[in-house]
This record gives sequence, structure tokens and C-alpha cells, in this order.
Amino acid sequence: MSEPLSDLEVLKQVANGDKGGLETLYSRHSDRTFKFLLRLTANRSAAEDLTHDVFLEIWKNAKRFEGRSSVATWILSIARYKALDSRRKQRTLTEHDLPARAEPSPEITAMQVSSSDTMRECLTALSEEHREIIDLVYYHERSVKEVSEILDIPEATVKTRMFYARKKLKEMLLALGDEKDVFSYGK
Amino acid sequence: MSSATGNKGGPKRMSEEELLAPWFVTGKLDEAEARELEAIAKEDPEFAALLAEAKRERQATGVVNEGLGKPSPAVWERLERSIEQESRDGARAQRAGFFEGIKTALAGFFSGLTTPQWQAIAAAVVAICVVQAGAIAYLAQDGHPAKYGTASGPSAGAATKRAFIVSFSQTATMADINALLDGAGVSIVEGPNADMLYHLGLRNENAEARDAAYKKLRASSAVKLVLPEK
Repeated sequence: MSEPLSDLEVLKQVANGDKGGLETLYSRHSDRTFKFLLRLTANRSAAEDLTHDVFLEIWKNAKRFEGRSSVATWILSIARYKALDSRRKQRTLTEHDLPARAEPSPEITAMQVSSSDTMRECLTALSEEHREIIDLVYYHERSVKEVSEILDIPEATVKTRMFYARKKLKEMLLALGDEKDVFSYGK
Repeated sequence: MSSATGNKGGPKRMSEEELLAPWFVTGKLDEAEARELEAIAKEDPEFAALLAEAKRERQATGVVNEGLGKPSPAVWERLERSIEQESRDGARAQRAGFFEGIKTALAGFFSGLTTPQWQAIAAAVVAICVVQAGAIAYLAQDGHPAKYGTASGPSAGAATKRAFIVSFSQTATMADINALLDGAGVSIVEGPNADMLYHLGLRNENAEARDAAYKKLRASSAVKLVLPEK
């Protein structure tokens, strides 16, 4: 049996107008892209619209991919750009007046209620900036360099932002009185 | 070895090892960095605890994200429709651009003509009409086999089937064009239209003659554009 094509090879097919290639990329990356967007927007419908926009953008601009990052990183960069651009257009929120926690979607609320794990609750309640970097590092498994490309910030800032995101997480756990969670780390 | 996690009880400082801990647990450090952190964790229980803490955070992040579900199938269906629309729009824009280009080129050609050139073209057109009228009259006489017919006539002959669409170069003279058409075994069956395009028909309708004519037309400097017709 032949090896499955790499993302880069599939993207080349897309660049040549192969819709099957886009379907492959979609099946590989749409879930994670959607989740990333849902965590950014806290709105399922908006996240679905943006997922559509991201893959349409890939279809239109596959030829422009320069291969300086992985395809997965490129897709997350497009997703983030689309989310920020959509927010700018709506003018309901700007990067400066974002609340510390976005209005949770019904899905997230349900998860909060049903979850007995305070850590999970805190992860959901983190500020967008911190939630975003924690997701990129822990869930999307992006390296320091890749996070730096996606967020368009220096690598040193990536490390310190992640440090402060984790610190905030600990503070929230303490504030919620989940001392066991905080002090049982590593035991 | 000094603690990688800073002074106990003092203000917390960020060590490089501590900053890199999240990437250690996701396996995204290079080999040397990972080895170094591993070595520190073996000797420093506090740092080992910090790595364990990062692992827990990672697991919890996974659970939170996995609980978010997937996009509905409607997203892909909508994407397919958008792509089809995109392809249609692209093809339309390409066609519009092509004809716009021809129009511009022909407009440039005619705006560049001097009065004597216009007179020459008019004379050539009149000459063609006279020759064609003479030929029709000759062929219409009894006893002559029908070698040619008018392109638009109901009994149009071998040369009436459209084989190519062409536009001639601005610098081509009527003599150049006539010589080329004769040499290629084609004749004008229709045109020029509003875009100054001519339809040519083959005198001998076969694949070989068609290929040969196409090559001659393409190679000629008198021809600006030639496209085979279906």
C-alpha cells in the first residue's frame, strides 16, 4: 500500500485545481481549525463560517504557499487572521476592548457545568490571548517558532506569554480554591 | 545543580528551562534541549514536578478542545458550492479579459491607420467583392461544375466550414494575407466581425490539411492570433 501524500504534496494538488486535494486537506485539518476558531470566537456558527472561509482561501491561494512553515501552521495562521479580520469588520469588539473572557457558547457552558475538573474550567475561562497560546502549544502542538509565525510575535515573546498564561491558570485554580489541583502537581 | 525553577520563597524568576517546559511535554524541542531538560528533571524534583504540571495542563487542554465537537457537514457542502462559483467566476473573467485584449489590439490597429492605409483597405475590399462577383457569375453559368460557392450561401462548398478564427497583424498587407491564405489552403468564410476577427475555412477538409494550415497560420507574421474552431 502506498504512503499517504504529505500535506505539502496535497497542497500542490490543490494549487493545480484538484478539488480532491482540498477534500483531503479538509478532512485532515478542518476539525482542528474549527476548534481553534471556536475557542477564539466562542460561537459555533461564526466558527463554522470562518472554517469555510479558511478553506476557500486555501483553495484560492494554494499557489502562494511558500513552504516557509508547515501546512498546518499556515492553515492556523489563516484561521487566526480570518477571525481577527471578521471581528474588525463586525466592529463589535476590538483587540483592545476584548473582555478578559469571551461570552461562552452553549457548548462551552455545558462543558463547564458538567466538568468536575477545575483545571478544565479555568482553561476555558482564560483570557483570549492566554487561551490562544495554550491551545496552540498544548493542543495544536506547535513549536516556539511556529507559534511565533502564527501570532506574528517574536519567539521570546511566545515563551514569556506562555509562561504568564500558565501562571494565570495557576492563580485561577488557587482563587477557585482548588488547592489540591495546584499542589498535587507532579505527585 | 541549582534549581531550574528559581529561588524557593523568593520572587519567581523565569529560567529558560521553565519557559521551555510546555514544549518539552509536547515533544517540540530539539534533541539537545530535550536532553538537557530531562537531565535537569532527574536531578531537580521541583523541575520534575513542573514538567508533570505541564503534562496535566496539556491533557486538560486536550479534553477541553476535544469536547468542542466538529464542524457540521454543511460547511463542506457550502465550500463545494463556493468553489464551483469561484471556478465559474474565474472562467468568465478570463474570457472577458481575452476579448478585451483583442478589442484593445484591434482598436489600436485601426486608430494607427493613416488615410492612405484606409484607402488601400477600401480598395482591397472592393477588389475582393469584384473578384468574388465575377467568380460567382462564372460558376453560375451552365456547364461549369460548382467549384466554389459563397460562404453564406445555402450550397456552400468545401471551404465554407469554419476551421479557424484569426486576427491579422497590424503590419500585414492585403498581399501578405492573400498569399498566406492561398499557401495555407484556406479562405475567409466570414468576417470581419465587430472585433475584427475572421473565420477561415479549409479548401480541403481533412485532418492533414487542417494541421498543415494551422501550422502555416501560426508561423506567419501576418497573423496575430489563430484559434482552431470546433
